[in-house]
Amino acid sequence: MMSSIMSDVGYVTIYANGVAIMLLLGILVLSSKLRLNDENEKRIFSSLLVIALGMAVFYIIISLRDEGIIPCSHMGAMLIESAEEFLLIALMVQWVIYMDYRMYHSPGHLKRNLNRIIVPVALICLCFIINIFTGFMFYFDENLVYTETALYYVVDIIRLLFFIIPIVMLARRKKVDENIRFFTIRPFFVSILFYVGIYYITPYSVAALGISIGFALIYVDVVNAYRYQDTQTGFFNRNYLLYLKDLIRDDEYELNSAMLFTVPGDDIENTSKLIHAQLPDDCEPIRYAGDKILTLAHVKDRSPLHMVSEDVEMSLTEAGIPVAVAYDLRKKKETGSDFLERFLKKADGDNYVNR
Amino acid sequence: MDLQLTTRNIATLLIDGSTIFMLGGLLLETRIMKKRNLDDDRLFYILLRFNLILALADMVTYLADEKDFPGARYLNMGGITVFYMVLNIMLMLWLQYCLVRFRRVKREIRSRFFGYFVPGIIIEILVVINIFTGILFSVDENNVYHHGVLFIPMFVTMGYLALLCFIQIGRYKTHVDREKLIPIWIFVLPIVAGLFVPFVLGGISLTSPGCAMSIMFTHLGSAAEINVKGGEMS
Repeated sequence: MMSSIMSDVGYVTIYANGVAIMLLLGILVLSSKLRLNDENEKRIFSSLLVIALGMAVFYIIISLRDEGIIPCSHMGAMLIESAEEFLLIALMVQWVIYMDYRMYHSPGHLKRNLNRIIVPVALICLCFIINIFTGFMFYFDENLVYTETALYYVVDIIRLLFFIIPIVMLARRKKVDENIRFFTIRPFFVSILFYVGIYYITPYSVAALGISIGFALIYVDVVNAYRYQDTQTGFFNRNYLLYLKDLIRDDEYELNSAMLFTVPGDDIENTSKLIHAQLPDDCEPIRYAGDKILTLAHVKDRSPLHMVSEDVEMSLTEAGIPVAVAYDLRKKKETGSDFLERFLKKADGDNYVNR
Repeated sequence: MDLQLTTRNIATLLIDGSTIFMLGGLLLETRIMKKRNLDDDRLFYILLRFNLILALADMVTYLADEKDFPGARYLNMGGITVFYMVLNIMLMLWLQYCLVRFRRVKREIRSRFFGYFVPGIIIEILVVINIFTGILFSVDENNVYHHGVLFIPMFVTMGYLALLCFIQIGRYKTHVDREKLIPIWIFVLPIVAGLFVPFVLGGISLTSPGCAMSIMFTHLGSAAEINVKGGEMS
């Protein structure tokens, strides 16, 4: 039915952007229901989704204009196209804001970062405003056929850099910051780039579809992170422990030893960094309570446990932070579940150094 | 081999390709989560894998449909057969997922097995029989797809399975005060749009992206009940 009034290109564009709109709306509704400790991050992410939604809607409007279904004057076409360009700029700026906030959670750092990009963004916006009257970046001829100039591609490269540079910074930061362990890059990066690539080399405006898929995958990351990660320390949280208990009970997780560190609840972020620096890679620290960090391990020998607990104790004592340490090994005929229950009961009751 | 790509084929490649990207991304997440022993939602990941097969079968079908290269007819028929088999399995698994994950009523699966899963099992058997009889669908010598006499009952049965899934989510919402849980239209709209929009407008299949979205939203909706304060101690 649709193919009789539209060309196939318009048909494909509307379908693809319709799918993008549906996906973005779904993620927007889902994310609005998620209650996070940091509401700023949620607001920034929601803004990103709203802008992407606006882009998808504009692509549909542009497609309908190109098909002649929406009548449009020359100035109207310039204004619609310029509005879409401004939305793309807004998306890039919001993307930089989101990535910065996700990595650093620091308004000060964000402000410094924004100060660096404000000049190029302002210049690009000015160029697009001037372009409405002069057409030196893109223009429409008498038949309303859209044409881009060489300068437009320069702006595109700058916008691409806005997208890629935060990802490179994230990749480097992941190596040092445990708080962003759940932020996986490849899935969303590949899908966004692929569809943006198709947008540039074919007549199909499907960039919004790639962006919507990328943002959906980022949202899945956010849910995973907040499901199992303590937002203050970056350690696993009690949900993870409940999940591990099921695995231990089903013998899918080999638990041989455990340590418990009881520290003051205030300034837990700095305390957790000190603890994390002393723990070996195969230890899984869990924030068991407001002031208790439980570490489960696979080691069967007492001496590594003793060494790690001493290292942690020394590191915190040097920083003037009081700490109580408990550790224990699973007995030979004891199951993982029984050991964990025994350890937690004893360690909860009184913190002692078990050497 | 000349695939004789039409714009409809390109559209299918783009849209089914987008589904494959999304599912591939989600499955890559499972590998990363598996490293940390976090693949607790195994049924969801099985559903994703089936959805991936659905998208691939859909793509193969649309690329082979109405083409005349050697083997196109068999590719078309094979693709459609796999499509309906996998779609049926997915609907049954999705129902199980809603029962286990949302309502946590494993015993209800056993007590209502006849009403919940037997229709799907019958459809699965009929799809296999269809290869030899064409009672559900067929592809003629000119490689054109036709509905069989039992196509509408099959479609209705699949709709029944999807409806059961929505009912489970709806019952969960009314039985427990779960104000965090998202509106039911989030689960319903993608799969309904995916099934009916192409039916009304013709052309491109949206079934696999519709299913993928509905399943993903179901998974994320069930995650909405977790302690979103990051597990901090109460």
